[in-house]
Amino acid sequence: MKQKSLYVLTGFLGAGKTSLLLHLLEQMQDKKIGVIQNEFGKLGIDGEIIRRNGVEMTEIGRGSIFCSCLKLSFVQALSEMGRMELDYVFVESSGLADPSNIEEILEAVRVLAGDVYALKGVICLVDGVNFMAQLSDEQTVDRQLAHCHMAVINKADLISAEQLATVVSAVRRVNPLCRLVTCTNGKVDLDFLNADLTELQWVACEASLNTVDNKPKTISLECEAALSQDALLAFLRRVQPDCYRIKGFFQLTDGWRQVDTVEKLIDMKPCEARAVSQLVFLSKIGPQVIRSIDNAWKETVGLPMKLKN
Amino acid sequence: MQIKVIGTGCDKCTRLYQNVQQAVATLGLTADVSKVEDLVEIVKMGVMSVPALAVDGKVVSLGKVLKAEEVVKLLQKAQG
Repeated sequence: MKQKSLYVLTGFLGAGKTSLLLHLLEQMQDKKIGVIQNEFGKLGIDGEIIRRNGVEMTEIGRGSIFCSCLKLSFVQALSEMGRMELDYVFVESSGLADPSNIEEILEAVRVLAGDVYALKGVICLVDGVNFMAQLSDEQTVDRQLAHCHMAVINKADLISAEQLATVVSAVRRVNPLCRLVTCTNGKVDLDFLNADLTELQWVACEASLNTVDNKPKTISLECEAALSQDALLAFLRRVQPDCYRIKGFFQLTDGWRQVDTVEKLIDMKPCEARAVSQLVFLSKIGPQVIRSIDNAWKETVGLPMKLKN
Repeated sequence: MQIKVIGTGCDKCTRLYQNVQQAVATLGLTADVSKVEDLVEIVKMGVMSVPALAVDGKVVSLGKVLKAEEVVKLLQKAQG
């Protein structure tokens, strides 16, 4: 059985996850699709959608408010769906925003149903109208948005071009590297289905962070040497206070790691080898971060590297 | 006797753990009471509903926060 393409849909309340799901179901009628969500009611069914061939739906989490018990429900639902012949499975849940949660769940699913899923991306829906009010403050990075591979700004028709630009900026401050698209009524372009969302998007990052005053807010570092884990951690901890995010791929002495830091958290997990180690820094202090990075690197690593913005 | 409280760390699982400890104390048992919190391990044990309880390798309760008295009964039954 072919692996199923798995997408996780997260997002703020009322942002339009359901509309997006409906849009996908309407546009992908030639594909076999599974949907897992918290409540059927939200999809505004339309029994025709269920009855139509190829759409399997599972509802979970009724009455269960604890994230941990919810994980097990998802494992169960995904495992059962894993045994069916499906092309795509879309899981809608805000509770799964944390990437480590998703990985944990998929590992458990592998135990029960085998390697039946290929996680293609985590998509976060943003409410174009209410996002700025929902964003608490600069220091609080919203986990859902921070960890997604693609952010979809919905309700673009209800806001002005200036408002949209403000929202885009704000989204980029939280997540400088995800793919970013806008839409109306959840009618997103389907080309993301053919894209590799889980790869870092260097170009998208640099283009959208050029602010009016031309202060570079992202700096990237390239290095050809392999580091020890201690050295990399020491460097990251030194430079973390000056950055909102640090993301990239780095070669350690015992293999490659995907690196992701959010506030004080440093997440490193094994990944496939790349051509060169690369880190992108999203600065809290404007261009002075270049000096921070340079100093921190000299103090903790001292090997050759290149900085660019 | 080996007692495992199975659950991914929510309130319910903590309560069951406390009730199990109470039951063990009540019976004056020498028992090793531990928690299984790892999702993959839980799934490997065949548990799909938490919190759950296993005694000496056998799952004796699923998806319930047993009261201390109920745990006492289960433990007594397990003792034979």
